[in-house]
Amino acid sequence: MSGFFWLASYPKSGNTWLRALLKNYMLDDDAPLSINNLHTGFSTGDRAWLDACSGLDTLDFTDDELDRLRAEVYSWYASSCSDADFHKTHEALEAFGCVNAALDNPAISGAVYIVRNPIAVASSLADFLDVSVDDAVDIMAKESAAIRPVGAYYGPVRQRLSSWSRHVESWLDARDIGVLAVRYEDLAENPMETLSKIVRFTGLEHCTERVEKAVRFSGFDELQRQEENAGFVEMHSSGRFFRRGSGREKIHDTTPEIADRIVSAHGAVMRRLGYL
Amino acid sequence: MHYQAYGLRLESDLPIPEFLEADHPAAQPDFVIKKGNFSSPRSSKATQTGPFTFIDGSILWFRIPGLADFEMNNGREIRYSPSPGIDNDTIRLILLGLPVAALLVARGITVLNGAAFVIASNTYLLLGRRGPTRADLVASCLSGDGEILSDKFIALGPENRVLIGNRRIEMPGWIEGCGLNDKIYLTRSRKELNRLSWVQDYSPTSFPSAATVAYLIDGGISARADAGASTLRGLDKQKALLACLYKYKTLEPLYRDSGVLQMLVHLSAKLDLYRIPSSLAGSFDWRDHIRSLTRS
Repeated sequence: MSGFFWLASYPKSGNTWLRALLKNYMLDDDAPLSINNLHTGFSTGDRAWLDACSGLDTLDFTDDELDRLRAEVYSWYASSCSDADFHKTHEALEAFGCVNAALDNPAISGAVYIVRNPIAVASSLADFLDVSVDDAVDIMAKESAAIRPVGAYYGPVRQRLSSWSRHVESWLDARDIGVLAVRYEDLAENPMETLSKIVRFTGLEHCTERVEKAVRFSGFDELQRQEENAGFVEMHSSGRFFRRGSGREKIHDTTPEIADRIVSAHGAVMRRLGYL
Repeated sequence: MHYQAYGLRLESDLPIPEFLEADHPAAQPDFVIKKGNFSSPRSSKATQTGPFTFIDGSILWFRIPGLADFEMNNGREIRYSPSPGIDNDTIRLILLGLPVAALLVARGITVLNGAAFVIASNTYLLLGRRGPTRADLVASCLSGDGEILSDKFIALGPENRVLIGNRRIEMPGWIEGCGLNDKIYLTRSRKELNRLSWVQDYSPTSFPSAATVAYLIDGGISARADAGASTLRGLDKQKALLACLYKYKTLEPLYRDSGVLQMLVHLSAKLDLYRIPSSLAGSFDWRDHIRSLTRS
């Protein structure tokens, strides 16, 4: 086992942490993996990888054309995966009125979807994008949101996000691809149990000692220590990537007005996930 | 139509205004480009080497579903087969990438990932590995008055010459792919890039252009972007024209020696072959090739 898996999430929902956990588990090393070596495989926004793998000049194609071509690239790549292969994506499985054919692909073995309380996401996203929390909440409510380079000519491939609610539901209600949904908060509070579920779902051989070690090597204290000592290549130009582990502080610090806006926009899905 | 490009003569039934018209149209062409009607691969013995590439001996197929099929035959012929409804601009856009590069490789020409552009009468090569630096840097360099000669690849011919499409160039300056240079330095904060990459209201027409280079031809009536096809196909051409960054100008070919080989050897660790399938490039050691050219 185990094939090609998406590690999917709305941005700022714990995808990096999940990658650290899985990579530490798979490596089973005696020391924590460097946070600057979390290479779990290409991400779906990675244009350079797509160019290199496909032979295409991807800038020559429209976003929709590229989605169709990406489906073929991922299928071809997945057919050669003999071991567990994990790839990060922030794309919604269904957005802009259609299924994302690039991701919802019969060659894919499944997906681990990590979801986080949107109140904490809003705070993280505001910091990541250097915008106000109000603006971040606006973005999270937009059905037409996408990641796509505007000012850079060679940027990530267009990734359809849609709203936070639509993003979550597209993955939770996936019909053609097996999805294990994991709450960030459960991973934070019960990391052993939650990581064990992920390991079993993805067909990796389960070993309690390795799970314990991976959790220890991927703890926020460890991630923060590494970032302080050596920096983090995926970090902003200022500030820190690994700021606070549980997200409780973010929720606590959020003003009632902001929280109300988020609940108003995403209450149904928050209730479905037990956040309300 | 007869053209000359990359030091070669070619005959094409597809108009390619990027190439110079041939000085001697009656001369035997080195290779031909012609339309066909086929699906790739056309050989049952072909091996798939990538999601869109197949190879059988000296024949390479490049199949792009819904757009076109290409067949590169022994460095002598490129056949193209458009999918229904696909226009010549689109075919040319793709043809000038991997199909032409593969043909050049088959003829013993080294094809490197890179771009060439002119600023204030100086020609620059920008060479380096794939990634976001090159296209952004070219665009940044050309924020004033400049022109792009090629934004896809640089060919290194058998006569110690750099071949840029229809011309050989002199080399008064060069820039490393890393983008660090006394004169040109591109930097953006990560947060700025994050912000630039987020779009609240996505629609295909809401973007000005992803084009790194655009050509205005036929007196500005028709247009083509060398990158960022979304601006030109099925969308508003006026917007596409407005989005065009640089106007194409025809330059006189330059045939002068240069010290480019020494520069290439110096930089060889940072260079990257253009998107040629490894099975086609085979065991060909292009860095050794560059060194041998220098020695000769």
